[in-house]
Amino acid sequence: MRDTLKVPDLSTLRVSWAEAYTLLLLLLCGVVAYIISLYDPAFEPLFLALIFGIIVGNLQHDEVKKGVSERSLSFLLPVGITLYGLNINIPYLGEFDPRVVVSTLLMASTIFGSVIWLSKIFKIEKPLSLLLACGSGICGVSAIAIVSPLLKPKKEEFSAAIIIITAVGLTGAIIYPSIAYFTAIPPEKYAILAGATLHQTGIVKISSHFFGVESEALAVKGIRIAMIALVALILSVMYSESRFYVPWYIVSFLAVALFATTYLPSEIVSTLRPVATVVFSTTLAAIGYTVNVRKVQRVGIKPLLVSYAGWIVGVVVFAALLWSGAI
Amino acid sequence: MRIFAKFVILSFLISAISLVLGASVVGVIGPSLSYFAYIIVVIISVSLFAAGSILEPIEKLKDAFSKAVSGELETVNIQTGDEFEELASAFNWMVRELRKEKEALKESEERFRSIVEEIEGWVFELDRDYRFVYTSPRVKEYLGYTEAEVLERDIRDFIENFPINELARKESFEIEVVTKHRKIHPLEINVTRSGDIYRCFARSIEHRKKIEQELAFFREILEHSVDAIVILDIDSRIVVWNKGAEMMFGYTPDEAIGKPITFLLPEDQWEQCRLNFRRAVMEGHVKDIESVRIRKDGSTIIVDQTLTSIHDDSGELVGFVAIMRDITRRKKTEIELKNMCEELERRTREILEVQKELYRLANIVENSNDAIYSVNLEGRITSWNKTAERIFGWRKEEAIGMESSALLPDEIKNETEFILRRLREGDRELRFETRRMKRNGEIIDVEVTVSPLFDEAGDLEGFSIISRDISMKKEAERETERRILRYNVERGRVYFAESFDLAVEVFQDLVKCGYEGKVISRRYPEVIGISEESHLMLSLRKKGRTVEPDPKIVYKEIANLPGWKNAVLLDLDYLLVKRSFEEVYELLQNLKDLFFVLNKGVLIVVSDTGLLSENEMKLLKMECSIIQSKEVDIPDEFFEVLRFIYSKNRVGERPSIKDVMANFGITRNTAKKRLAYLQNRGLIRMIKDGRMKVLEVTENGKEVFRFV
Repeated sequence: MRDTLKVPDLSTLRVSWAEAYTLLLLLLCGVVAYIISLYDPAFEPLFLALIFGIIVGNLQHDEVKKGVSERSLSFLLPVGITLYGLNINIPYLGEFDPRVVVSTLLMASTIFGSVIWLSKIFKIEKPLSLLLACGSGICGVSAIAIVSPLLKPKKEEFSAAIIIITAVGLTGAIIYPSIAYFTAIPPEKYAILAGATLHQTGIVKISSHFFGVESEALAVKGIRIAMIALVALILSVMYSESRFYVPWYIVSFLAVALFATTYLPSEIVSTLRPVATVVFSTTLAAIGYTVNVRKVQRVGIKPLLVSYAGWIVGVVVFAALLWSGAI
Repeated sequence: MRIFAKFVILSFLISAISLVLGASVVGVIGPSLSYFAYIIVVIISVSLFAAGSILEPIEKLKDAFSKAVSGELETVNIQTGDEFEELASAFNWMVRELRKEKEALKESEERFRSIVEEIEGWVFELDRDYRFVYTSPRVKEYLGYTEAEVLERDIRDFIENFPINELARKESFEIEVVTKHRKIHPLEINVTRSGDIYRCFARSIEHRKKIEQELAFFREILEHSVDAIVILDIDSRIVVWNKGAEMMFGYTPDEAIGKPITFLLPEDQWEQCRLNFRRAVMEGHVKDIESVRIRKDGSTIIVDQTLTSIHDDSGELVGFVAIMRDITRRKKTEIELKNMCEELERRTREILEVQKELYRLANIVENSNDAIYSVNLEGRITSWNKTAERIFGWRKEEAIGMESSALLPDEIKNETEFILRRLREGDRELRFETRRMKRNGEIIDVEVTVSPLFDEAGDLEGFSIISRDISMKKEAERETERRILRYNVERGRVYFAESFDLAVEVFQDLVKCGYEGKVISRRYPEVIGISEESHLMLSLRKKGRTVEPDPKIVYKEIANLPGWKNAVLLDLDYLLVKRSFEEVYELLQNLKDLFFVLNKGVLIVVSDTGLLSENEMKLLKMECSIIQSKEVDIPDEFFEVLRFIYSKNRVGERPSIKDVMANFGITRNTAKKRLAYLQNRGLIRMIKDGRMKVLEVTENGKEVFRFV
């Protein structure tokens, strides 16, 4: 299936000048996206790279290059996922207040579940609903990108999921300060709200930065990010073609994440992280390059509404927890 | 929800988000380019998906229309609840209709394709240049080439003699094609023209040709068969009438066709005919029906008929075939043969019967009490039975071939010639009393019956003689006659009476003693005193009871007298008048032989006129015996009564007075008087036998006759 995301055979890789040009273009998209994200962390580099890829791809209409881009995914996607493990910082749960951990896991699970439930109600395709659930409940665009090879969604569904999750996250980033302002939530509680309900790490950073609880919020977000390892394992088992099979790039991703958190010196990790981000962004750009924007558009407004609803459910759960004094 | 409402809601949603986000940025966060960028991203994303959501059904419809145009009839699933859903519903209805039409079209196309491909024939189309533009797959069967090989090629490349001129002129024609594998196919081609295209349907007529040949063959058989072959419909009406039938029955086909088969049958056979038809329907055919048929000329013939029912492919009865063979001659021959057999059997039976009869007769002959033997024309004995052996003394082997005259005493040696003469004259049976000589020379009296024997041609070849020894009887009769007659006369002798009265007396005495009397005279019977029955008048005129005065006729008349106890009185006077003495003398000699040989009785000749000279008289007396009278002292009328009773007593009877009255024609008183006379003389006595009185001669009475 050309339109589905899967890991192609590496032996089929052949590099020509046209391929090199395409790869450079995609790399450029990834680099630009990374640079923009440096300026504004709210703009996820993966999201931007995808958008750039879509724009470039829809402008060029070059089937040869799209073919090159398609074939490059067989290499870029596993490598990107593996390297992206460097960006995962598995927190030590003992450092956290257990109530915060439980509340965070409860809210993340509620968001995950509600998105799945609502998707079923709105008759949304299962891969897309799982992508949206992972994006909403765990860690936004990066979670979608990691689990997408396991679920094998259509490229337009994958692209739509990334755009939707980014839009919902940005909405939260804009609205959360107002919520905090008008409800006078204490900053440490706000950090839990931002960390537990907002989608991307960058958005959590932006929204919590406003109240000066950036590190606390990112720590809470770290709990959710850690969930990607578990979810990736579960989904890989659930959606593997044979029982208890976990793809090699998931294993390597988890290994890199674990290694980077524990043994790898933080300097090296900090050095390698931009490389990892650029490679993964290039991967997303390659995906976006081959996607038809009209097909993305056809996904419709229902997934967007489901994502918004899931996010609101998370906020309501937080409010309930806050009101009940659990946090 | 209608599209309008959706647009309103979406616009409201985007506006609300924009307002909330803008208010949050402006009111709480403060003016920031980054946040406006976020808002733009959010608004663009929401707008993108909202627009996509609204346009999705249109896109789906567009794609569906595109596919429908390209032939892919697929329905769209739009459940937006707005006008697009209605449009999609209408589109789906259209698609379903088109699909139905397409299915119907496809089905129709498939049907026609299968018809064309499976039809027992080859369908092809030629363009104006006679090139194949279409051919059904059966081209392989008919020409040996594939469809690809013949398409776009001229038909004459494959069928050299294809009559292209016939295409435009005729609707159908027949040709013979040679296939790729050199096989000849007779084809019938039907042509229809559609514009510049000739649409042809070729059909193999090989089977039809074969059937036509077979039909011609069968028609020839039908027409030239000597048997009558008649085909009938289910109502047994004639539909086919062949030459054989025409010759057999005389009706032409025009006369016979349409008529029921029963018109050939006699009415009494209609029921049997109906049963035969019924059997033919039930069993398929009926054989060996032998029946009578009526020809046109009214004559009848016997036919051997086979009746078979005809069924069509579906097994439905459509008619009958009757095959008839004229077996009249055969049947007649059979009947004749049968009759002959029966006749043969009958004759065989008869022969067997005759054989049995012969055997029985032979047995009878052989064991008879009579001596039976046969003699041929040479006078030699040809058969000889046991009794003959016993009576005559010769054994059979000695007797066969022996002269029959050896059995005759010297005085009758000429008997054989006499018998043969009589038989040649036409006598079929001679019965007489005569004498025979035994081997030891003893003479015996016999009664013989002579019958002629004829060969197959009916010619006389001999005669048989049955001889009965009657010596004893004859002796007894002679003794009786000697006793009771008043004159000494003996049978077998010829007596000359010198007076007519004496002759009449002797004659009447003989008649009274039981002789059959016959008088041949010129005198009237009443003059003689005898009845007319016993009288023959010598006369030249032929009338009843007259005899011509011809010695031969007279001889014949006397010879033909039946029995051998005849008393004949021959009056010679008129014969002597009409004939010479010599002739009369010869007659007398012949009669003497006749009476002596045949022992016919007593012949009394008389001549009391002076017609004879003395010498002639002497000659006559020499040939005849002299009548001598007995001396009895009893008056005649009493003697006759005594003689009557005596003769009865000799045979064991005792007459009554009535018998005496009846015998003599006298009254009781007269009878009593005569009986009283005899009784007084002690000659008879009256004995009571029950209530009747019977008469018996006494010993004295018997003495009267003894002495006579």
